[in-house]
Amino acid sequence: MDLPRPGSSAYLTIGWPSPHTFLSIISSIGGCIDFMELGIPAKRPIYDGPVIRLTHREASGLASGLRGAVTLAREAGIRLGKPVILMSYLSEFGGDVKALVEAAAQAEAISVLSPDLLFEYFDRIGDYIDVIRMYGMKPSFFVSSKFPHKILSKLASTNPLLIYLGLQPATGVKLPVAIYRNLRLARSIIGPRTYLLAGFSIRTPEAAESVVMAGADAVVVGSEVVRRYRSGGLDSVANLLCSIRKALVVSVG
Amino acid sequence: MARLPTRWYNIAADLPEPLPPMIDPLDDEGSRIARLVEILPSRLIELEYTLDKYIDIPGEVLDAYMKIGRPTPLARAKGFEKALGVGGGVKIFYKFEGVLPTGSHKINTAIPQAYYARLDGASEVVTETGAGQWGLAASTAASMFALKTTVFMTASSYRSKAGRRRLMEVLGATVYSSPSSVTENGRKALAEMGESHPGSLGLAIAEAVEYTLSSPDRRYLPGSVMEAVLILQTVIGLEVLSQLRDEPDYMIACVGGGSNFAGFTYPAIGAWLRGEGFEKTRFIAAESTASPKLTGGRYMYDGLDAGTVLPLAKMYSLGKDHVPPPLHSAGLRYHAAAPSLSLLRKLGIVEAVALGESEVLRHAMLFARSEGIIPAPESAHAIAAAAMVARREAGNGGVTIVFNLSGHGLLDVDAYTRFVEGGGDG
Ligand SMILES: Cc1ncc(COP(=O)(O)O)c(C=O)c1O
Repeated sequence: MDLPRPGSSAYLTIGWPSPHTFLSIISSIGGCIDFMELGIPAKRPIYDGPVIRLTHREASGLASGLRGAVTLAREAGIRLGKPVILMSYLSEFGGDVKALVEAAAQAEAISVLSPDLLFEYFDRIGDYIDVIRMYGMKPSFFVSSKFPHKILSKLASTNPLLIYLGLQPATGVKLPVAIYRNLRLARSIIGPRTYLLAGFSIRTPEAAESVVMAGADAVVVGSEVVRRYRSGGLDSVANLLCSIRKALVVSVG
Repeated sequence: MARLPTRWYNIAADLPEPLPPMIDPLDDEGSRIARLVEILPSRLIELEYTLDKYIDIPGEVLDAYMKIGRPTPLARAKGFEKALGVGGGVKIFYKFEGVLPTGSHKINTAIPQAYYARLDGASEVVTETGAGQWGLAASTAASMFALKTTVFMTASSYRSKAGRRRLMEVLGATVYSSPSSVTENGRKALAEMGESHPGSLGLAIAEAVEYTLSSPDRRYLPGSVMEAVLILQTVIGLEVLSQLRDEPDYMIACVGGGSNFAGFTYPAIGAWLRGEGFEKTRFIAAESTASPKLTGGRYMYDGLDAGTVLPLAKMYSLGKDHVPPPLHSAGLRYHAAAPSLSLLRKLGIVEAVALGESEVLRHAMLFARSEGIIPAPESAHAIAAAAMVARREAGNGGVTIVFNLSGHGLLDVDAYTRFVEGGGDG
């Protein structure tokens, strides 16, 4: 399965803020996104910023363990009617890529993305690619803006579903990083065909548009979804995501 | 012919494995990473998170580099070769950063950092220092860009390195002995260990950052360890590439936090990583047995400072609370090695050796008497390591060693006094 260009997507930690409300949020945003990233609550979400970290803490336990999270993710996919990409720290699976990919298969996700695969389990990348292909899925890779060019182009050569570039040092954190310059360079390294998803601290339709203009195929919004839910509830989340999708479709699509 | 580089080099773009990012401690309700914007000059943050392999050096910084005397010389240590008894078979060269006006390589990064702080509209820069080399460089650069300076100097050096402290004051800096009563981190340490606390670089960093955060007009200037600082030091190694006639068998530099080693070796290591030469060259990091992170530390996420005011980084570390014994080479007392250097060490691309104080100072004296240059005790670790390699290779012939003489020791009278009076002169 290929993802649409431009694409717009959202991230939620599975079971947050409660399994019931999680599914309500999901049900209300299906029309505003092209695909969804769902994160398995992690004990050590080390690359996440404070907002997402808190959702991991609040959600763990609620989704009754890994099996509960996988069941909820599958249910979410059905309600969304849109592709789901499972997100999980590989450390949650003790580095076992087979167990990670199996969880994605059970959740009926189209791929699984591990923020720590390249940084903490560099020697498992080959295994990950083999196993995920065995299950009929395409690999996805999370990379940072401080990344070896040769490895970036190697990842692109594996024909992945997507490469996710974290624009900022952590989710939801905004520092004076040259994100557009980094995006343009990343695009030139991976070539025109590889699907480039960008995220970390995208909060507005204007920011999403600029990120796509600089070379991303799609954006993902995470921390701002959580903030919007807290301040304005379901409607506010749906408004944000719909306005981002509209901006992308109108300006780029 | 030595050329002044017009770009800095970012090895993260060429590493064989991705560099693990800095992280917040998991229990952080806010985000230390997010607070970097209140701490560091913004262009330094941009540099810390750049995907670019090369970064253009701004014109004003290039002008300042020329003004301080860059490029620095690469010289052959014929007298030292002879003194070691390896003359002929082994050739030893050194890059001499000690010719720079503050006496060490530290000014290479102090200048762009002060320039970046001024671009942010800051009026004051804040930092920590061990031996005083970094504090002096930061104070000098701040004066060049009309900024005020505040320095937290580890207590043992505050006492023993009064010369550098005075010079910082001449440049207009305010210098506090760390732990100080000026910050919460300092007061806590004083309460725990009392006035006899020797201080540590990790603690002084925590104080400097805390002090920076208390006013929006201040910017903290890191002296080493952060990748951006390592990038800014690559002028050294890029010059070396234009000065070397042949690729050496060994490149050697000392390690405090790693900026000196990185600045000297990364352009060559990068060339090797890209398959553009330096196949035979071995890269050796010389550290002190008093703070042996690369040879005795653990590769783990740890605090950059003792108070974890800053984020955590994945490094070879002895633990952020490491309080080393007072040491002649105060500049090497940091508890950890920069993330990229740690990764290169883990991958076996960089080798490490730890050297004891008396062996180091013995070689410092030998170098002084055979070359006419009094080295900084920190730099003397590279000299001692070079001597060790030279003796080992003496029989092989045709071996070339290049080391970085990161600073002169004309203000390290304390170290030499103790050594000479202790009978180490022999
Ligand atoms: C003369 C000299 N050389 C080397 C170092 C090592 O510093 P680093 O490895 O952090 O660059 C220092 C630190 O103060 C120093 O003063």
